[in-house]
Amino acid sequence: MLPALLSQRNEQNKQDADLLKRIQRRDQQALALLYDRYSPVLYPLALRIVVSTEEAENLVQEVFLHVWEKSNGYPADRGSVYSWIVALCRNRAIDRLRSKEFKKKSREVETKEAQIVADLSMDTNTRAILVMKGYAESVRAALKNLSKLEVKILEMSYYEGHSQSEIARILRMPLGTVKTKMRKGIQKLRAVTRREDEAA
Amino acid sequence: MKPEERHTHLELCIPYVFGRLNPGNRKQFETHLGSGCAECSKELAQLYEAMALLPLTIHQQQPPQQLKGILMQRIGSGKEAPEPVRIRTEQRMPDAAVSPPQRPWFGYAIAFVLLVIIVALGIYVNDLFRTVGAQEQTIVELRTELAHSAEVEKILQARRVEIVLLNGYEPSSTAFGRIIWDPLTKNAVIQVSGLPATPDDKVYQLWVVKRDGPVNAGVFTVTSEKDRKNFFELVSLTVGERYEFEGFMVTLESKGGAAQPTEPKYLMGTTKAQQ
Ligand SMILES: [Zn+2]
Repeated sequence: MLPALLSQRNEQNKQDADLLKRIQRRDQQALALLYDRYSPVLYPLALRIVVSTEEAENLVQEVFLHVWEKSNGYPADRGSVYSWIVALCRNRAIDRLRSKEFKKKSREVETKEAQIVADLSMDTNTRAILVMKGYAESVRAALKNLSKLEVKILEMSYYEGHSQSEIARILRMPLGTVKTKMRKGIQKLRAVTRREDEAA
Repeated sequence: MKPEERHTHLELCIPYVFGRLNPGNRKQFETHLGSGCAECSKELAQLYEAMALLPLTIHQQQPPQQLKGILMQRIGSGKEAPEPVRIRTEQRMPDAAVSPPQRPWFGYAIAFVLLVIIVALGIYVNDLFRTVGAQEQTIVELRTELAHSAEVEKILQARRVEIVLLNGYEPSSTAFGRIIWDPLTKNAVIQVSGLPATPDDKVYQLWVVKRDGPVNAGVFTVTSEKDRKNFFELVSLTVGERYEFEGFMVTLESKGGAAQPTEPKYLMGTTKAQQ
């Protein structure tokens, strides 16, 4: 990964941590900024897992409501604010996918007029979104270093919530192979977040 | 670190991050984390960072604009753990300035809108596809007798129905179609419009495009004038799992079908953003 892009991304992680501190002080604008930054990532993620746009919208709302209500629950030693939010979204989406309620076919769609609020986006945030896009390009490029099988196993775990033994069964391969491929894939992914000179 | 130095809890980090530890192991692992194991904490942090990269490989897409307004309204009202508010589906407007709409995701939006309309109003589809492009403005209604057939209804009412739009290419650039399918049962309907009548010694062949290439998904012919306007066929997409499908295409092949598609592609559509 390009050092410049990586340091921009690190800078953003710091900004995110500041936004979270502001959220802890009940600063609504900080939440709006965090939303602008990451809802374009969370929304397609949720959509990829639950497929329904309605559910995906609900999930994105729930995640940011959780961030608002439970900002003190962010475990700072477990990674960046971004990775925390993404994990919240992914885990909720997988829970939804497995829930009985979700499997029920019929559901009522309520409609409610949305209230328009002032656009709170700021220049730094627009930049942040653009850096995120550049970062995403690098990740996509790095993903090419993973074998098809490594990608498939990671995607089955991440987007479909399959356990390693379920994957072994579905792909008809030994559990040990699935575990090894998964570790390999994750290692290669991790390399993305390192600078070239420190990558193993 | 040498492998033999890794302590056993580290093995639990991956299933923990994916939420796949059984309750007993999870509790044990969390107790271990609570005891302040720096090694596992570090491993977890790195895993969460790495996993958070995966969604970046999906193309970014703004949620509907109203969602932010609703969210801000909810947090402004100061209610504890409020119920999410569902929003109108008719007004979705991806923010073009920040993130150009990714066509395949429109498929999902359309799938949802279509499902609602079908359940609510019956079988006719009008100008739902207006936003997708001029081509889709001329939407053909679902053929009544087929829409009434139990199998098609089953597909249309499936919880996770998906619609993939097919665009026409030379020599049939005015043709268009869609595949409506239930990824769980893999039952699908292909609907096409404007394809030239199939020559006697040829067939149209449907392909599922996977990461490692196209796979045969059946053949069909377009013969009558009625077919040319609006052709329906039930197909079974049992050639793989949803996550493997990158798109669909239709080619013209010799009778009996081909092992590999030949040029030109008559119709093509993708199931997700290109990676
Ligand atoms: Zn440990």
